[in-house]
Amino acid sequence: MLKLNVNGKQHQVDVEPDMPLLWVLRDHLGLLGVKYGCGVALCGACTVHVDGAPVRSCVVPASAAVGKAVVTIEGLAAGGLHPLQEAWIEHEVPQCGYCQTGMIMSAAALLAKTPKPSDADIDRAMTNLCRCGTYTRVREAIHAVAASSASAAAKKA
Amino acid sequence: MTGWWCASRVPKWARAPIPRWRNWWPRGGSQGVRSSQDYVRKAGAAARMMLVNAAAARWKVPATECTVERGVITHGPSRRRLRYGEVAAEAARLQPPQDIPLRDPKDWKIAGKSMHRLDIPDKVMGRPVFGVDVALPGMLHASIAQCPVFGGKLKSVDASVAEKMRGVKKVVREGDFVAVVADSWWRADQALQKLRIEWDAGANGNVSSETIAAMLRDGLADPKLPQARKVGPNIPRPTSTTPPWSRRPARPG
Ligand code: FES
Ligand code: FES
Repeated sequence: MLKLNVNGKQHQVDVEPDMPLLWVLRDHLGLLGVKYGCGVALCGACTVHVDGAPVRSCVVPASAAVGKAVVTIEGLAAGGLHPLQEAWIEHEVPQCGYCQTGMIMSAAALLAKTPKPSDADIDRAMTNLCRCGTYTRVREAIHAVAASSASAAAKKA
Repeated sequence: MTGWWCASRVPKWARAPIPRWRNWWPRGGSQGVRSSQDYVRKAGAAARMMLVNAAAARWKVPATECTVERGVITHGPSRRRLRYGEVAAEAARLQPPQDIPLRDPKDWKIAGKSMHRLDIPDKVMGRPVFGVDVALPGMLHASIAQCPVFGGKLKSVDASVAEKMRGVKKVVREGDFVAVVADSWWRADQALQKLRIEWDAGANGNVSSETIAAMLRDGLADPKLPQARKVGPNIPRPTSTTPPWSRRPARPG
C-alpha cells in the first residue's frame, strides 16, 4: 500500500512501488488528464507537479512521491480555471490537445518560479513536445499571463 | 446553416452527399473547410431547408412562413417554435433539394468571422477522451512484440517469468508476434520485457539498406530500362539515394 497525496486528497493505492506515478494517476486514481506519450521522459505529456516542481511522471516511481504533494491538471485550479488555462482558451493554444495538459503544468511551474519569463526562459523550461506544433501560441499565452499578472501587481502596489 | 455556432457542433452536414471535385476532401494544412467552403455552405443550406420543410410539414403550413434563428425554427403567424434537433429525424428522411440558394454575404452571421473553437475549454482541462483513455468494463490491455523483420516468424518464447507477474492474464503466441495481456498496459508491458523471445527472421533476415540499394541499382541497369526511357523522360538515374524511412507519429493516436 502506498499513501499518496494527490490534488490535496490522501489516497491509498495497492500497487507495485516501482509503478510509475503516471500509471497510478491514470489507472488507479482515474486522472486521465495526465497523458502518456513516450514513457521515457522525452515528451512531457505526463508532466505533473510534485511539491511544486514539474516532473515527468512516466519515469517517477510512485514510491518516490510518497509524502509529497502531487498536483495534476485536474487539481491545478480547484473548481475554476488557472490564469494559464484562461489564456490558453483566449489564445486558442491547443490543436488536438494531447500534449496540452503537460504543457500547462510545465508553464504553471515556470511562472511560479519566474513570473516574467523571457523567451529564453520559456524555451529552457518548455521542453514539452507538441506534435501539432502549437509552440508559438504556447509562448504567446505564457507571455500574456505574465503581463497581466504584472499589471495586476502594479495596480495593487 | 443558420444554426447557432453550437448547434453545428456535430457537423453531420459535412457528410451530406454533395458532389465534389474528384470526391476530394482534403484535410491537410487546415484546408478542409477553407478549400471546400462552397460545398460546406451548400450542405448547410440544404440541411436548413430540409429542417424547415420538415417543421412546416409537421405544422401543415407553407415553408415560406417559417424563419430560422440560432437553430430554432419559428412559424411566424402562429409563433410556434421547434428546435433543429426536434425535427432532425424527419428532415433526414426528405430528399435533399437540388436548387440551393446561398445567403448573400452581407447577411452572413458566422461565415467570414473568426469564431472561438468549441473544443478548447475541455482541452485545457484534460477532459477529451482519447483512444488511450477509453475504458470498458472488464477491459484488459496488451503489449505486443512483433518480429523485427517483415515476413519473419516466432520461433520460441520463454514466458515463465512473465506469466507469474502481477496482473498478467495470458501470453498470446501467434505467427509473427507475442503479446502479454494484463489488467493494465504498464503491467502488460513490464511482463513483455521479461519474455525471452527467439525470432526466425526468415528470407528477409539479411535485408539491409545496402542490399536494398543494390537491388535498386540493379533495377536501373536492367536492359529493359532504355526502352522505358523512351516512354518517359522522368526515369530516375542513379545519382543519389535516401534511406528507407517510416513515417511515425510522435504520439499515440
Ligand atoms: S510520457 Fe512522460 S515524458 Fe513522454
Ligand atoms: S496539441 Fe496536438 S500534440 Fe500538442
